[in-house]
Amino acid sequence: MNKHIRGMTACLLFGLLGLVNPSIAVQSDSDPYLSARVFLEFNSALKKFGTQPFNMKFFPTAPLKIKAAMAVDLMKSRTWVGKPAVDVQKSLGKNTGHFWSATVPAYIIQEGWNEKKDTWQLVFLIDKRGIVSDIRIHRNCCL
Amino acid sequence: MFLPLVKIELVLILFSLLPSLSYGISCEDWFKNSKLQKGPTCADKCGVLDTHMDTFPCPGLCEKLCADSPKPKEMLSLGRYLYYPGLTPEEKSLVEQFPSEALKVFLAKERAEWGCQRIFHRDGVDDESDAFRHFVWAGLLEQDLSSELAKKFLDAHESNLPSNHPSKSMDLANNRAGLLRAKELKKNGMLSQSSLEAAAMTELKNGSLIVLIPRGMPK
Repeated sequence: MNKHIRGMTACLLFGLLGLVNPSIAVQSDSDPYLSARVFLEFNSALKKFGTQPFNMKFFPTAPLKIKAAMAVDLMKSRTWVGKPAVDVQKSLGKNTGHFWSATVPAYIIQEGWNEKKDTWQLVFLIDKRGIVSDIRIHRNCCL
Repeated sequence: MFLPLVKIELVLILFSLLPSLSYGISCEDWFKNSKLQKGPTCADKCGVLDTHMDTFPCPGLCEKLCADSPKPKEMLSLGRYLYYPGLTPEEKSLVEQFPSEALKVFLAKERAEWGCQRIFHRDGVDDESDAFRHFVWAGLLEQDLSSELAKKFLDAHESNLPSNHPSKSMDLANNRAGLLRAKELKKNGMLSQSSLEAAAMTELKNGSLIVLIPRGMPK
């Protein structure tokens, strides 16, 4: 009984947190490692960064604001899902962010360390064959 | 007329089940007594183990006996610290061989990342935060594991990149610096996460760690 009450309270609290602060709306994961990380849901990412069509040639050298807006477009279009992660790095260049290891393509789209903001990065999650399985925006670090 | 037939059928079913039950139990004991280690070569070795009258069908169950083991608790907890698809084949092999040590390795990785985020407010690549993270991770492994195994895990994490890759060279050099400093600190009884973090900052300021893309130290 107590367990149920605690569970319901936790659900209610988390639900309320989500309502009060939509920027922390995160994607849920069955993978325990991923579930412990903060990823922006598409709508939160759209609200936060806006969107603009992804341009592969322009992305590597684009200013971070533009990169972030392109990242949102990538999240939606899912370009590269089903393709090898090494192809992403060939096209977009070396990682500028860090997620687990150099094998996971990650690119910073918002630097926060000098402005007391969160740092966000575009991450191409891979499957066990090194194929891109999802494209997400991950909180690299913290306020 | 009907009831005796049912009874006979029940007896027959019970008799038909008995051999499989006894094989199941005795084959498990047979396998356990052989002290074979579960792993890639287990099924081959198991297939040629000596058998007796009661264990002669057991080699036929080798594949199952070698694979069907309950995962240790460590393996279950590992998931929280491991991004399985991101593991290199060398890391996967080490995780399989040393599950409890692997838990320490990836817990240390998390601790190093938390430290890096706390101090640098970023988790970068090829920059000062990257050097710091590798130094501290390696040092924590020197604390938790034997030097040899620590180095094996650290090298395995970099094994996907070609040997002449600058990022790989940077990471390996900073790992080595972390291992060496941790040994010194251990000798003096001063090895801890905070002493490693302080050492990493000193070495970064002295320019002793490798940084490919300087982005600046925390303010």
